[in-house]
Amino acid sequence: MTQPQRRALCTLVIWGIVALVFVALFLWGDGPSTWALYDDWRPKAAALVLLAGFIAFWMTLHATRSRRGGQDERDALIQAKACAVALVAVMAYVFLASIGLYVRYESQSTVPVGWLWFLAYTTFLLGWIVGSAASLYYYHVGLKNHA
Amino acid sequence: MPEGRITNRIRYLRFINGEMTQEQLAEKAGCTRQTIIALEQRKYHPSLLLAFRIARALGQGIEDVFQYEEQVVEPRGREIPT
Repeated sequence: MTQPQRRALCTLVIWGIVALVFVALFLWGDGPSTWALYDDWRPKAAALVLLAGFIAFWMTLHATRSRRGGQDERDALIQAKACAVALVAVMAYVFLASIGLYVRYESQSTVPVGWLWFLAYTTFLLGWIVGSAASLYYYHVGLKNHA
Repeated sequence: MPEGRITNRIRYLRFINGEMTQEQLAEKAGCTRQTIIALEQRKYHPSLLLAFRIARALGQGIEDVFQYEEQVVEPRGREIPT
């Protein structure tokens, strides 16, 4: 396994765990309706989890930094394709989530603020998760349309 | 519409070049060993620049290393090798 592959795998695991913990925190108790209200502890816990994710990710970047000759045109191409996939996934997610919230709360004229936190956190996490998963996928199946 | 695929003889040419290892070829061509593996398994098509580098590292012309096989695809999708 190359350094870029290790980095993609670690990124997927780190942000995957952060996403699971965040969703569990978000759905805890009354869920979005009381998120960030009445001295709710969950936003602080989510911030701590995100910080832990950033620290682990930084350590991964440091541990998997490419030595001389550790990365070539194939790695760069795979990363570019993975970024494109992640961008499309994030755009589709934001669009569908926004429309979904609108449809769900249209009759109430207001959306619980917790959903905006949810959208913000999950958009960020989804970008990393889809990007790293797409990298691993392209490393596995290969790229044949470059010639 | 003609469709094609690129094949290569890297594994064979490594063998006749004093059983050159993938690592040695990668170093000479300026890429990673994993890229040589992907090329030999036909999981990757190299850029023209890398193709020339690999050919030069193997002491061959580019068409001695990489071959283009054209296929004609009928509208129904049946392939006729040319």
